[in-house]
Amino acid sequence: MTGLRVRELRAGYGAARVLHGVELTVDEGEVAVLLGPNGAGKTTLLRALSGLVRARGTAGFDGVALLGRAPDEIARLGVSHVTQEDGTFGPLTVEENLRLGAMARRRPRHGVSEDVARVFTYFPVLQAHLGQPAGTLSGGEQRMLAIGRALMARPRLLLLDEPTRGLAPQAAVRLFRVLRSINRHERTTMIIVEHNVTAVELAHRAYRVESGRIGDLRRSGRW
Amino acid sequence: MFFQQLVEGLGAGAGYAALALALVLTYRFTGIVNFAQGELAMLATYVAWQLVESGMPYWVALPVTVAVAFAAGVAVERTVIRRVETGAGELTLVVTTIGLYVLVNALAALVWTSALRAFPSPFPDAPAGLSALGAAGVAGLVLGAVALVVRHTGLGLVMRAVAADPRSARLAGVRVGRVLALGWGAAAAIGALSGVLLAPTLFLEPAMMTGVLVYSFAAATLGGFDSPLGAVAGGLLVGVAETLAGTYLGFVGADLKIAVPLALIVAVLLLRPRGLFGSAPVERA
Repeated sequence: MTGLRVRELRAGYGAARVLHGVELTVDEGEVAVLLGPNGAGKTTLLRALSGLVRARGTAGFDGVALLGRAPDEIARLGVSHVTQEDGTFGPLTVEENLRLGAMARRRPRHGVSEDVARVFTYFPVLQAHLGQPAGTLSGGEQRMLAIGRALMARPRLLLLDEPTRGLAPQAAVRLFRVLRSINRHERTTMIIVEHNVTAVELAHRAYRVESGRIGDLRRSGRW
Repeated sequence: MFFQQLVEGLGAGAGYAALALALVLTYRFTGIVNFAQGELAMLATYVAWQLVESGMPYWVALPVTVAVAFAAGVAVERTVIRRVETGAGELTLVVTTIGLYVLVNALAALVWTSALRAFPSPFPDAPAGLSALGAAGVAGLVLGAVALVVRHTGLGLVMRAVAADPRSARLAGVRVGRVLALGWGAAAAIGALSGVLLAPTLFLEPAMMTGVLVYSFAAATLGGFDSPLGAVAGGLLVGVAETLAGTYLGFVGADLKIAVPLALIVAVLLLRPRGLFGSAPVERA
């Protein structure tokens, strides 16, 4: 079975242990939503998968071990991580940001304009700001650009850390619709960390992360 | 007379401009102010001198020197800077580059002694004015090439992304370490040009670039520390200001002329703290 298999994942920052043996399964083409309180370890889990935080245990994606690799190498394996805080390059234009997103691909120059056009079908608002520095976009537009840039890599696994943070409720719903459409059309496997419970509606699997451990929401019936 | 002074100032300014460009590139793409930039340039100039002395034609020795300097820049980044950078603060890096400065300087004195050596001019048969203009032309060409690469190539795009946010660049699949090493290599190569441009007038010795480094810092600050165009314009301005003031301001003379560019910079920065071409950060208020 292809997809993501995480077993006994332990991670932390220095002496502080954050994740204590996380088990997570996401099959190819599925959307998994991770819910849970602040400080539960959701962000750390994504960081461990994208190589930003060192972790023990195993995490295999399509049979390839992720742990122990550098973030850029993991990105080139087809795993794109859109973090909470950054994700766009402020001084670079929207177009340059998107072109840069293609750098993780095996052939970074091939089919770039088609992919940019494809990103515009999901986020049409970006098209109007093509030549504008990303730093001058609104918060919501920057979020769309960050996701669009991640899509440019043609990722097989997309990690999204609170994509709707700071968005108005309607904008959040719209973004969820777009994410669902991306999942359907691109067959991109996704792990979405969210506080917004609406996210569960687009999920094939929902997990609850608490105190560095994870539980299957649907199975445990805690939802 | 005025015209001759102006051209002479441009010639010296070209050397300052090249070193300032090297400083600005290192700063902009790696976030480090490299105090050893001038000494690395001096070392490269010795390499050029040694090659020419051994019978290699000047125009063959020059590209070889630039290539050696590039490799040395990459090696310094890979072996010293990268190790210090992980887990160390900015101050540690500054002290490291100052340490490199002292080390390289001592190394040159050890190998070549501190004797003054004459360095061949690239245009031995041309009048002084023409070779000064030639030097300014070289600085302009290098700036043009840098601008072309940074603005219009995939490599330039990646470099600007790393400069803006190394972590995001890494997550986008960019091999950040390679880009930083490349930045150091390019800066060292441009610095080598600075040394070679200035050596015919300054004479070659281990302390040759000490004063030049001050001028180049001045030029970079004057132009705006994040602007390659500013570095070159600042370098040429400093060169011209220094030469003209030394000649026309009676009380300045040869001894005080080093103070002139610095006075100029204080004046500019009072009016425009970002420098002439420095950019304010692009951010939505």
